[in-house]
Amino acid sequence: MAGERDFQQRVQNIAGRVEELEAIADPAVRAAARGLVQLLMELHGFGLERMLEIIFQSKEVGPRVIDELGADPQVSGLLILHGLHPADLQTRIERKLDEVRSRLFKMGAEVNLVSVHEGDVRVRVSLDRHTCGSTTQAVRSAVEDAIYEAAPDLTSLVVEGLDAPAASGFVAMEALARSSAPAAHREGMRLHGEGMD
Amino acid sequence: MNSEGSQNTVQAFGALRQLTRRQPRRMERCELCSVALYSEHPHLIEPSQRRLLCACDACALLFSGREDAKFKLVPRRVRKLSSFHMSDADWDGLLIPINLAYFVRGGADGRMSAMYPSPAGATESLLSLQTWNSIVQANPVLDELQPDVEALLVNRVGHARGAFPAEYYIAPIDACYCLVGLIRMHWRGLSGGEEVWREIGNFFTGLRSKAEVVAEEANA
Repeated sequence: MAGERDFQQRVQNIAGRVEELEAIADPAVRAAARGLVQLLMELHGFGLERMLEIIFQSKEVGPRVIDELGADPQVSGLLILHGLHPADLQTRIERKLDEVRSRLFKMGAEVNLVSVHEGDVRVRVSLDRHTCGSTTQAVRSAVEDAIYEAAPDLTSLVVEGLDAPAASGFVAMEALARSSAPAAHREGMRLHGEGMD
Repeated sequence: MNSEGSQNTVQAFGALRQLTRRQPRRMERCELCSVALYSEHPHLIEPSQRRLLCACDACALLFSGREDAKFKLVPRRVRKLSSFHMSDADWDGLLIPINLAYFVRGGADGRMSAMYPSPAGATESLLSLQTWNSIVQANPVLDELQPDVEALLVNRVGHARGAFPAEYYIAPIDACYCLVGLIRMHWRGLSGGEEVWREIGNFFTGLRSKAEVVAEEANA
């Protein structure tokens, strides 16, 4: 999809520049550059969040508009980047797999989502008996591309069922740094539920 | 795009994500249909579990409202009871160890519960029915308390310090849970620390701004 590819290309370009920044020798300049990127990301992230809040308040049409934003190839990646996408990781993958199912069927393959746990994704592919090596590769590419497109925020992907000599696996560097803070509200709700009996 | 290109995108994406805000936003979701919730949204309570759920408007309507419903919709109305009568003796008779508490009736058995926030979460305090009944007698507005979803919220923190008058609210139950959560999250050491008292102060400032002030009608 054209829009999606634009987004992916831009992300790769930016990441390339970030890599160059990280290679700057002077620590002060390096810190300043990194800080600037963070501030710009925050500026737009908070703005996007606020925009979605406002749209959401339109009770009649808001949620529908947000769904449309989430489905748009140009916008979807941006929302995922800032943790604002209306559909969670699993939902996005399931929807994407539904989209590519018929194409895979023509290649003699069937794909199913086995598990999603905190960004670790596992899918199983089953192939017709008489599938040749190059088709197997094409199936693998199709499945992986689709999942990476729908869920660039995953932390690992394992594709089972394609008898490859090398293990089929991918782990994002980001998998090393995960943190989250519970909202006060959730703390209260959770504790009240469990503290009582 | 070939898989390697896709993988590069994911790595690049990850690098960028590291540069977004330090505390990633955790999206709240409707606990019944998992649609994303971006801002203020209704809450449902499951009285049998005393469990609060976040919901979208559609699910909130769908799942509450029936007489035998498993869930009840938490109302949004906050009332500040400006002419509430509770003496120090009344309060002491309730045997609550701190100066904050809320009182909610269980819909199933009609039993009144006294709860107070603590560093470990919400704690139930044994409630003397006699004391409670005399408080209700002095403040008939409490007969209006909707079971499970509303509570009498008492803030005597300022009163204990001689700084501010005690405050009494009829508050929705999710506000009470929120207060419990704040205290659980921010309490430090034996006396709480500055942060938690600031949070408590902010909580009540917010509550006050949403409250409609209600005065008891004079007895005939």
